[in-house]
Amino acid sequence: MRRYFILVLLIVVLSFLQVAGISVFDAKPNLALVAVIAASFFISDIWEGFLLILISALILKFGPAVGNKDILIFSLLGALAVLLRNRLPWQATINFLILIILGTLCFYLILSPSLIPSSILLKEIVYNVISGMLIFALLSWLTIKRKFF
Amino acid sequence: MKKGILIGLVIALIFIVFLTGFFIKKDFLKEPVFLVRALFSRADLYEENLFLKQQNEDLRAQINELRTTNYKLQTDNYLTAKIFSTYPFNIKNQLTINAGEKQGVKKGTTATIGENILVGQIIEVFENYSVARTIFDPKWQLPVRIGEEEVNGLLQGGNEPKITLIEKPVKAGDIIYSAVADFPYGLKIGEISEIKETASGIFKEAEVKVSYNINELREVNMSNE
Repeated sequence: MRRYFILVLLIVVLSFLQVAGISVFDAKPNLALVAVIAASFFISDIWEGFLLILISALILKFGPAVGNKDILIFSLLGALAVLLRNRLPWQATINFLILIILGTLCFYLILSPSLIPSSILLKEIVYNVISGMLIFALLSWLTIKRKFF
Repeated sequence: MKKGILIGLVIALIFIVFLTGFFIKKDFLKEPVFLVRALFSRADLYEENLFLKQQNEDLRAQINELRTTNYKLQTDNYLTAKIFSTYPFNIKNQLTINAGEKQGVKKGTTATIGENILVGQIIEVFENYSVARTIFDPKWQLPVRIGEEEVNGLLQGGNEPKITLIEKPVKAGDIIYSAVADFPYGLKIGEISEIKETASGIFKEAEVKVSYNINELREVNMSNE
């Protein structure tokens, strides 16, 4: 229960930061997507993952500029990460990084393909990978130290 | 946690997120958003500095407009509205503004800093708020003129907006201003920062330097006309 509470807290905080539109050097990391993908590696049941995705989606909906299509794509990509997290053949860290990069690429591919060759996508991937690694390391540390359970 | 409860919560949230017009009151969100933003910038001095820079830039834009149009500037027909939300991802650049239909905002209204620096255009109007697309939106294109010689160009929006199809020589520092019937003529967009040759060699491209950071804007003006 404590584990899930920490995951919910992580999702809520990072989704609110996303809604606030925090940008670094003119590019906004997709913290909400990163949080959902990272959390998906620490859940025990796919329904826990789906609930986390929808909590994040609900917070993103606070921003009225975000349309249902954007939120739907975000939710589907999150759900895909939840379903694929244990099905990729590599180590968990590599799987996580691949899901982050693929998730970011798919988000652009579906919602704004014209931005695929732009520097903004590259910046976002770099930010997402860095922030994702930090979150993943934190959650792994909590798990190893048994502070999670 | 029991699976049944989880599934129930998931279904309830799907309904709330996708099938209702659920929306948290803007004032509820405004303060936390500003608070978070303030944490990432040195709030007071920084904002004052930003305001003075924008004011200075607006005055320079007014001078430019006077040079290009000869119109008398009007100062009493603008509605000032607060920005309380920006589109949270990189794929679009939109602002949500706390003035809507009730306050007289209409679709297509110009959003400016001061009176003469073009930020964007209202694309959606709701009862008490509206959404503006900005020049940083990757899907926005706008015919512009550049410098005193009024060279034609096309603004291509994006996180790093640029001018394409420049048909005559321009130089760094030349002012870029709007030249489309949707907006008042001569609204300043920015300045040319770097000029690039295109592969075809017929037209040139240029990077645009704007005088403000879109993520740090707090309010915009909208024409009441």
